[in-house]
Amino acid sequence: MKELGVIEKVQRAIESSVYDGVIVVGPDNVQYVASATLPFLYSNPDQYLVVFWPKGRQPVCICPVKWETTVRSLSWIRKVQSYSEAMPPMKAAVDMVAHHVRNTLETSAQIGMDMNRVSYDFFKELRGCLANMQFMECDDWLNELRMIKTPQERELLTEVAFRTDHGILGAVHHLSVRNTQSEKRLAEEIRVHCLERLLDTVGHHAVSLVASGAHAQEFWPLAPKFGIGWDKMPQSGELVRVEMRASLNGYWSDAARMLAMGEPSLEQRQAYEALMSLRETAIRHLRPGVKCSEVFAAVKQEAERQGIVLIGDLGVGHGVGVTTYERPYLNESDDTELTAGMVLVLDPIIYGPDREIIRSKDTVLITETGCEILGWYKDWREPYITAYTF
Amino acid sequence: MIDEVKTKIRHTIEKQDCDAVISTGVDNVTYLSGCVLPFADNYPDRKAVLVLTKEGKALVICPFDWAQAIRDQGWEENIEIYDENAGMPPQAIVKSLAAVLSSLGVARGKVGLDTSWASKLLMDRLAVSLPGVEWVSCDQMLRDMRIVKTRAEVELLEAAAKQSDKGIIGALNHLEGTVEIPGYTIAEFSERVRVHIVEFGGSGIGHLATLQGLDTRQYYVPQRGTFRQGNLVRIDVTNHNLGYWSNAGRMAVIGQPTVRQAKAYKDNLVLKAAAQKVLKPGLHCDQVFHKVEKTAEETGIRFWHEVGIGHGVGVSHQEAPYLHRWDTTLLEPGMVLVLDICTYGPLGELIHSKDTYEIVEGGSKLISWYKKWDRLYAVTGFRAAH
Repeated sequence: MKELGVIEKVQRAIESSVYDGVIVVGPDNVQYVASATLPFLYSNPDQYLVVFWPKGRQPVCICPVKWETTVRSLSWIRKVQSYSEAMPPMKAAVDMVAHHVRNTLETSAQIGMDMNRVSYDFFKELRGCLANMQFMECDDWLNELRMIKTPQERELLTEVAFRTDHGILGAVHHLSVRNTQSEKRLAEEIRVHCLERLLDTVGHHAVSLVASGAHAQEFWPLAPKFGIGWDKMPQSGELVRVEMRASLNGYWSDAARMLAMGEPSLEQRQAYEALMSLRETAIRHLRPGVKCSEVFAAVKQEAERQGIVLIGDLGVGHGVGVTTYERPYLNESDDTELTAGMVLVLDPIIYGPDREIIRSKDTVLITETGCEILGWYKDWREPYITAYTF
Repeated sequence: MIDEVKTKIRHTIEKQDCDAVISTGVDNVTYLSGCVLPFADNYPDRKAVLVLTKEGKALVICPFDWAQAIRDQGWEENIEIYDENAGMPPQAIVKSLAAVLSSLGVARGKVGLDTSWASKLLMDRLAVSLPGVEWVSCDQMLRDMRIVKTRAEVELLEAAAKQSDKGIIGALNHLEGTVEIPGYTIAEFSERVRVHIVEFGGSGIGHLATLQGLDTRQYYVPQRGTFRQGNLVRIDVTNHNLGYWSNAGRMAVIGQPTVRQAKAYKDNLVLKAAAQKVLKPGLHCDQVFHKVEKTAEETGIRFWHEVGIGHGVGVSHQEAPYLHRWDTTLLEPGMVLVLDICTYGPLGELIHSKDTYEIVEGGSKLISWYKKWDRLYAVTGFRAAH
């Protein structure tokens, strides 16, 4: 992640911002500004990794002592300061952040902080240590930075999307109409095929999911064993939804594809075509200057016109980057204007003939004139149709 | 949801000086609802919030696609789906929560919230939307409830710990005989740990890292490369069993261990045995830490004292109490702790062999061994495939 052009971009943004310094606490934001793959942050909610980046100076990464060598080796940030765990972690982290801020900034400094990530307690403790400083919300500022990808980030996201699609295809090529592979087995095959393409599949979020027939009626079947799958064999005539999230150097794919077990029925074909028509509508609107909410409205309107039941509760897509699900959101409330360089996962969702959840997520890049689909291993205007083999 | 936990929660909430308690933390929501949320930590802009009133009403507010998963796990109370189209995070959930609290008649009451989880922005927005509410922190109450486990919780934790151990052993067994070229990649080995845990009933994997040689001086490195003869290997994994976590770490060596490697491993066990002797009701967490510190001084075994020697485990991978010099929590029967003493190998490798213990009357019970870990696991063999 160190060579993605993010460092220079953040540096420039801080220089031209109203902040005298920025403090970043959210694991997603930290991974972005530190340009480091740190999947373990999500498994340690009681530990704190904080980046303090003062204007005109080098940033410092503050972490528990046990992560120090890891952060040093994975992040480009040279100044890594570990806090002793000989006191409660929040207090230790806050004391060290406050120490660095005090030694760097004027007492009346304006500090930007990701207030939609930092816990109230952490903030209160820090505020108490830096009483005269002015804290400001910098979430929108950070989101702006994260939403528009550098050329190197785009390249990486293209690669991870492609390899994930390849991984899915590699696995489903093994699938036959006959009962030879359970949902559980196929989910694992997808992971293995992604690993073979050198993707990272560790971490709680790197989930594969296979749901066939009635199981495909649920977003998260087999709770709480999400992503582990059932012993059920996909049956001839069923629709199967396969999903995979994987990462490469800290950047994520978010993929979902539909398979038809044998030749799809007329209703299944019609449902898939309906999905494709909504996808086409979205693609026509995905261009610079259009608001995310307008893309959503266009898709919704098209669905209504055609009598398609759109599951619009989740919007029709979202950004992707150091997480699988981030701004901008292609939903009713997000008025973010699309800008060249944004990378989104397009994800309109509808019901199939047996009320299966049908989705086929495409990763798209907003270009100067429209959008470009990234990472297709096969042409997904048709579902994958499994052959009758033995 | 576990009945004993449900009863415990109800009695605790009744005694609180609050009209309602709200939790926003992923682990707290799991604890209070008995439901695991689908990878919620990884969706920082999406939230599930649990509301419990003093009168015994309970309700979960969550995004559309999580509702079915919560229902499928046996949640019989209300679920309110918040409309993510109704505002940018966290506005949509604030709107929904404000409406819920008003309908429950606590929009002018005293409400407890887990402020160690709730974001500053969420709190600010709630204060604006619900000006009549007096917000107080309920973290201490939640901590105290969670710290002593019920019998059913201990059973889930024991099963989780054994799933981890079996998963690691299963993968190590397969590794034997495959360490020559082409051999396994580290990534494939880690994946095999995951698969074996699932095979033994695990519900989901969290942290997963296999490190070898000099990499073991670090906490985590991306899973790259293949195993090499002579290297010490550390395998760290957390997995949950219906929402209750294990936190495991084991050591192996590729080939037969050198004398120094074997001794380094034994040294680790010496300190662990010292800790285990004093891991019993009536002692404080810091006393266990000091016992290890003293034993280390007496024996000349170096350990990484700065990171502590263990922690609680439950609906979170690691939680209170902490076996550290700063935690004076009194150990009580029903607590479940992971002993995690880090010592050093001949090349500065970080060595640990994490074990999970239940505090019982008079002492502690080891609940994480599938096999005996009293010697370093040697990965040997000569076959080209296994």
